[in-house]
Amino acid sequence: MATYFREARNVELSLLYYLETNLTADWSGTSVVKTFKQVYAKDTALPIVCARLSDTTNSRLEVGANTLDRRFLVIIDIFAKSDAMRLDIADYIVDKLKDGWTYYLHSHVSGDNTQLDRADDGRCTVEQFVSDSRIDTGENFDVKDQYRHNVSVRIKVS
Amino acid sequence: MKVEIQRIGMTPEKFDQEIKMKFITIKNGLEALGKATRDQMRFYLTDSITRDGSTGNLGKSINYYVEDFGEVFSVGVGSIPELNRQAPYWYIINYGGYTTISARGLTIYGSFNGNQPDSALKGTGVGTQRFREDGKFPMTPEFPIAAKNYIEKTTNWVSTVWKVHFFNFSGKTGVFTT
Repeated sequence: MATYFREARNVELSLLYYLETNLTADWSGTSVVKTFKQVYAKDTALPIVCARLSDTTNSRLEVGANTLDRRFLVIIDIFAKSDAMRLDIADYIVDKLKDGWTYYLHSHVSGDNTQLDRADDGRCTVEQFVSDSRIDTGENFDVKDQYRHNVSVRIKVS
Repeated sequence: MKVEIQRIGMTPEKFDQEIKMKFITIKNGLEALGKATRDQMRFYLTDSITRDGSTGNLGKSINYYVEDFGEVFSVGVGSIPELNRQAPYWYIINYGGYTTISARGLTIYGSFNGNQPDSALKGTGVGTQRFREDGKFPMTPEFPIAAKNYIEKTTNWVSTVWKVHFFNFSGKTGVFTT
């Protein structure tokens, strides 16, 4: 019997699913990954969007209660083919994130991690855009580091 | 007919004094927040260290700075010129990526704490010894630096807790020292 993943993992996977669905439709050829290792793998082609959950902030929702009010910091790194593409993809992602997206409960059958099942369970919204800036790694010659951008957002689930 | 004019409230001089006193408490709160932000950024850096023998140089290079021009008061954390001088790798530690050496496929001469690199561990990320450019063994770095994003984490932290630090410390007098 499938059991659902925990909230933090579901937040990350819901965002990746949302970005992948939209980029596939509007920006074909974009790779959406969730680790740096996947970004720099030889078979991952530009442009690349790497989204990963970095931090979780836990505070009590109200005095006397054990319910947590959680916020999630997600960092999205964009690796583009040109500076113009960098700006366009960054703007596109910010535009998509501002409207919020569906929060899914994810699960898979025990022993089979190739197929994820999703169940709609709420909404993710961006509470704050923490950063939206160009990354300049200087004059090195790695093609994947030439045109980079960073978008960081704090998310809440409702 | 007799006309009597009576002043209600503070004199302009008294009002000016009140504003200046309030401004002092705001300055105290901001400076406390700057100090706490510096400490939190250092914590995120320390927390992300994976190899032994860290000198803590990057954390020590991050300080908070107060600029008081009378009517304009600001507190900043981290000085880019100072970081570029004392810890120029601050940028790539935060954002990750290839160093110039690894991007160009160059060879450097060093060791991991005096020991020869073990090719069996290449790319696994399990090494815990500190790299030293001591000229001992030829090494060709191939993998990118993982992003630590300590700046984004600290920015997120500040926007979450600033009210606590600002209002808790704004009532205290005196200037914090580092």
